Amino acid sequence: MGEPVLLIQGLQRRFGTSGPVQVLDDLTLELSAGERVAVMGSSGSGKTTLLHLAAGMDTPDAGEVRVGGHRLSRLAEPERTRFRARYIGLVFQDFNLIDSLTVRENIELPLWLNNRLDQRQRITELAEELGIADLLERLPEKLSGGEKQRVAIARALVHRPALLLADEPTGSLDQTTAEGVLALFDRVTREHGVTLLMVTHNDDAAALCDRVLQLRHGRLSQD
Amino acid sequence: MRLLLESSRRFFYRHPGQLLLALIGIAAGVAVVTGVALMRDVLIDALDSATESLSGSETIRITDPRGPLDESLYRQLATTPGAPALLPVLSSRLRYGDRMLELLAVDPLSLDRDSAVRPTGSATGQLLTQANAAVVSETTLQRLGLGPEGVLEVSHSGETLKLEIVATVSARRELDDRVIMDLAAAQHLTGRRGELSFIETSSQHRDWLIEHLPEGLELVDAQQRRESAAALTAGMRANLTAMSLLSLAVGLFVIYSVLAFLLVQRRRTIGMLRAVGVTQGRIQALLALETVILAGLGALAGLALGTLMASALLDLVRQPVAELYRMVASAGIRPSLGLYATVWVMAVIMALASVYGVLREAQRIPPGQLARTVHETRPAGLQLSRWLPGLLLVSGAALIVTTRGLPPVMAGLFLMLSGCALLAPAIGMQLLRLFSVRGSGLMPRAIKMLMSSRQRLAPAVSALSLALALSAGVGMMVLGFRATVDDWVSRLISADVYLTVSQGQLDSQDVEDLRAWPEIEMLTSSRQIRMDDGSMVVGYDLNRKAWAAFEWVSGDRESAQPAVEAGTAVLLTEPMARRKGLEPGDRIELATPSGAASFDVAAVYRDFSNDRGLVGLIGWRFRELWQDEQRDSIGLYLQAGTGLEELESKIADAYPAGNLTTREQVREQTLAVFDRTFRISWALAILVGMIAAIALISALLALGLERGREYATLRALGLPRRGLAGVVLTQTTSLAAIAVVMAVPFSMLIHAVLSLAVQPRAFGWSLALTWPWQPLAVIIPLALLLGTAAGAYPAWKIASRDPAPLLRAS
Amino acid sequence: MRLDTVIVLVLVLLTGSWLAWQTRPPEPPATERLRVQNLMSGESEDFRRVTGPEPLSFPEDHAQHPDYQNEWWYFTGNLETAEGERLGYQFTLFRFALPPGEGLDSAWATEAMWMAHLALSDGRSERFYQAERFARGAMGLAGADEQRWWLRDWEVRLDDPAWRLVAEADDFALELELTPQRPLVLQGDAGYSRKGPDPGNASRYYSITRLATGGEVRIGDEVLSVEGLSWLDREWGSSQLAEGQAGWDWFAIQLDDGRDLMLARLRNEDGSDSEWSYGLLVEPDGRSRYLNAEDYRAVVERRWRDANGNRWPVEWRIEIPSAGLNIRTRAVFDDQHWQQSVDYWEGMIDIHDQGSGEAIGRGYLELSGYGEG
Repeated sequence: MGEPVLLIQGLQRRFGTSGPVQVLDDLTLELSAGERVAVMGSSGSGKTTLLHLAAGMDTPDAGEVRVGGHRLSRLAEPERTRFRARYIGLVFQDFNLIDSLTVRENIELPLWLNNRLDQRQRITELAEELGIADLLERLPEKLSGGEKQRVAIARALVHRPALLLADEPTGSLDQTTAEGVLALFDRVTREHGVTLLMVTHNDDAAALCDRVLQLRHGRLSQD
Repeated sequence: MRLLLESSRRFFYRHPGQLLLALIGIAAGVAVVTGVALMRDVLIDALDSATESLSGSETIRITDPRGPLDESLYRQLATTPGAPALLPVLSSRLRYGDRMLELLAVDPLSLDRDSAVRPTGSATGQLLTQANAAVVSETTLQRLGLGPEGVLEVSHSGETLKLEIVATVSARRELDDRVIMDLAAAQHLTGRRGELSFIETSSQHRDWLIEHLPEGLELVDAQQRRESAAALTAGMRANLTAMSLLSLAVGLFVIYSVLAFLLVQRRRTIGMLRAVGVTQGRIQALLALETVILAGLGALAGLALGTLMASALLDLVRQPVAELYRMVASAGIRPSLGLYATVWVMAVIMALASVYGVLREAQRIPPGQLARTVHETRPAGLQLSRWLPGLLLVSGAALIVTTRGLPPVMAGLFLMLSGCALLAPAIGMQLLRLFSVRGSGLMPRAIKMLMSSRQRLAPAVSALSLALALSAGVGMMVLGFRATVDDWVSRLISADVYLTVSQGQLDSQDVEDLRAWPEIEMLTSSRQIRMDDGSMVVGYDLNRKAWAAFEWVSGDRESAQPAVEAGTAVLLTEPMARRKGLEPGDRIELATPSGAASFDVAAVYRDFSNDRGLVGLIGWRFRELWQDEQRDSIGLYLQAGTGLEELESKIADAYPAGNLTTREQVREQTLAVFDRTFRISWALAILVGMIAAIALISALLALGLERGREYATLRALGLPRRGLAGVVLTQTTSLAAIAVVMAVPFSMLIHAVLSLAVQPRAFGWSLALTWPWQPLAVIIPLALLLGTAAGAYPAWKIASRDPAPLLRAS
Repeated sequence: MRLDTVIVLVLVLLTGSWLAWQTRPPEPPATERLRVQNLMSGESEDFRRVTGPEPLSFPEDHAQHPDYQNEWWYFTGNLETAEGERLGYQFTLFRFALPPGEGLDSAWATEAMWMAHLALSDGRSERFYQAERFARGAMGLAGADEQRWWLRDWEVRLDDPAWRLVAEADDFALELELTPQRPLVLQGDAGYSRKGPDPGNASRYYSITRLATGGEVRIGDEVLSVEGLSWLDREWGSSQLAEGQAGWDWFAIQLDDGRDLMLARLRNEDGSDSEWSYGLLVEPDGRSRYLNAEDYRAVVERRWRDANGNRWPVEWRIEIPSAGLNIRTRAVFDDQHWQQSVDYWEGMIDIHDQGSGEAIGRGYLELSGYGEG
């Protein structure tokens, strides 16, 4: 086994200044390439914080986050941003599509940010794979929730990120749609050999992962 | 309701910038309206109230329509048994630097006991006996920058007078910029022995006066004086009013755009409130109450700002009024509670009306709307049919073309500008689309993102483009007008140099003397008499060059000249012809000291010297009818080879009090007066420009708040800070760019309507339409710069924020 | 209440009151009073001073004396209607010379400021009517020559041997004929009336102490025929009051026994009687006797308090042993108070014998220097 794709050690994160809340406390996590891990926990247990720290959108109070050998804490903010554009794919609970851009343009964003517009054919490939090829020229506001999340998955994968971070990907979807999206998510991540860290409190979502961890009192534990 | 208000209050705590902008927007609009209203009042009411504050009551005035009163009339009336208290007044204009003062010479002993200026003790003695003793109000003393018992150096008809301030009277605004002297001293100093301007008394003595007044004199009451002052300044006031209403409209756009935006921000809250059982009516009432509080507070601040503004800018209005209409208005504004209340109520009502659409939209929010994404929704207020802007433009244009009065042209301009306001965002967004269709770089993407907010940004784009257009349009009109006046005056002034005297008069004998001088090739001369309504009658003695200098608007030069020279016909200036509705071929009757005289109208010529109009007739006929041999000025045409210095020294010997003014000096003086007249227009244009800046900043702040989540997403996806700042800057700059692009045609429209319709109807003269480019050259880069500068702060702020909290917050 | 609400309300109140303050009506200007002392004393180098007796001649000396700084023509009188109702009047023309002028080229140029006071005391309603006018001595607006003394349309014209007085104010008017009952008397030393330690603190002073008066008085719209007795004082000079003198109490009394009495009681600023007080007793046959400060004693019996809080002595006890007089003078009514440019009291009085209480005459009292402290 080579270097782990994601290595988190002794991670600490507190919020608030007066009587701070210790959200993450000496948290440790390791993901190897192609591994899919689900983190479950109740609301407010720090799942999203963990994800933001892994994406370099937040900085820990102590501890270390390494992605593909990059020590995020050593990177300056612009480098972290470049790193994120290059290595991370993000799927949000409420999609966060840019309403003013078409589906194609939304998926294209990571390619543009990485200066890889020459790989545009991947947009079509992924769209076909995710069953949204007919929707490419539409604006997000015309799409259903399931379609939106599929667009978001395509956007998260288009630049072949080393690590896919998913925050409650079915949280805004009804049961039936959620099942469809999960099946697709499962297939695509498997086929592309994606390393996935997903936070969720949906058992069905967790079920598709190789490992399921519980986040309690700021630490992870195996069931 | 209490709970609802609490929720509003917290919302504004979170978004103080929005609150502030809404307040500033309405305050700025109300300030301009208030300020202009206060300045207008000064032009009507305070113009000749000076003597009223001397007489201490509502007064009636005895004047001689033929000229100054003979002072013996006063003696005759005052010693008649049963005579009321009469105040003899001699009024003259004094110049102090570039400021005009009114010299009010009275008999201090005839002043009413309650009069503000009844001097006491030794001051009375000094006033009565010293040749240069004067009294001013305390505020005037401060305005002139003098200490008590200072010496006031003024000029009267070119002569320098040193007046000693022997006393001050307590501050009454009516006496601002007035210098009070004793009649004897004033007659002595100004060389006007035997003359009075008028005699004033309380209006309750009207009957006694009618019984005892000799034939040929007139009684003018305060109401008539106010009316004639109002008529004189009508054009000026109309200009000011139009500007102020436009400013208010721009201010309302600001409050609309802020409130509409606030509603979007609170859709979720309102949806939830509806879900827990708050009725539609209550939500509406809440929003209306919020508007009333916001607009009410803003308007209150606007009243205060407007009052300060009027005080600060009043001189810009007073000065041209003093120069053009010879009326020294009081230097202080006189606000009334009525005016304040009217403006305040109007502002609040208009704010409510302008957010009507927002209220309607709030009504449509279904209970429990909890969707996390904020969808673009069309505010009802702007859901207007496609043909409405066109209809507004066409009906406005029709109104302007088919009517003759000033109010309809203003209404027409308003309709057209409303049409423009509606068109501006739609066309602007179409323009943006052109830029964003192609290309995959940062800018097209940024513009595309901007366009999805077009409905929300529409009011801001309208306000911004209208305000910019207004600033530029007024600027273009003023510059175009200036060019026209320059052209006119350069053409009209045909003599090499003009002779006037500061003391005493020139008369026919002088004309004959000068004609014999070898240095002089030929002469012209003129004599002007000011009529009651502010118009002039001029007796001209013209030579062929002077005849050629007239620019004819209508009438035939070939036949006009002989008819005028024969004394049977007169020339009218354009304002006179327009005011009286006369054309060449019509008859005009003039009241002269020798009785009414009737003339043919021979021709109409261009003139910008007097908006009340001017009737020109041939000198000999004028002298016959008015029995007046005097000349105000004599134009000298020098023999080839004669130097000006040569003539100057000779004139100095022959006319010690003589002044020579060259052609170029006349032109400069004319343009200087012109520039002073339009300073207020520039000031208002700049104010409107400032409101435009507020509209822009408010739009940009709203944009930043509304797009926060999108920006955070982009950052999460890996857009670097600089890239995001680039997106924000591109968006703000392009917003400013479309506004300014739309402003260009609008400003031309405003310029054209002001020049071709408003000026002729307000002042009576027509202007040739020219297209000065300077205002556009200023506003285009300025707006772009403002767009960039106003984007810089939000860009920096948005970019430096960590995306995480924004993404987390829903 | 929340702090922010309080702050907003305070701001609203401040702005509102600032705006309200902006709309305040202009303050009425403060009007100053002329000070009699200023008019009557002060520098007079530019003018002649009265320093000793000089012969007077008439009618020349009825006219103005422009070489002197101030001068007046002063009529007072007690009148009665046909029903026996009491009226009193005062008509005074004052001339105040101005400092020498600069030779202005104007018909309005003047050397003097003229002031006229017209008053009527209505004993029926106890109302005091007053009117004041000013004019310059130019343009024919005011002046005094041998035949006519006038200010605008108020005038006194000599219609030998009588004078005709015509003066009309807004709410009252006088039209009287005044015929001298006895010859003119010179006050002081042959018309030289000394009032202070400096021989120049003096005036030229003559009187006609009894003029039969008849004519019409108008009060509002009511016209009354009246008859009675008047008194004329004529005085001119350049610096009457000496330093340290505060004012005077002047009595002009016509006794039923035919004697006329003038008393001028000068007061020092410390409130004491001045040694320069003087008087004149005129016998029915026209002979007169000068009275000095030792010749009489005047004591205030009652003071009247005006609205400003000043106290005017309206009731006196006067003893003149050498004339056998011990009298009490009483204002017919208290409020005969002049309140225009000058503040003084001038009104009709009744004369009673101190012992018997019997009415023995009528007169006029002038009080000056009480309302200016």
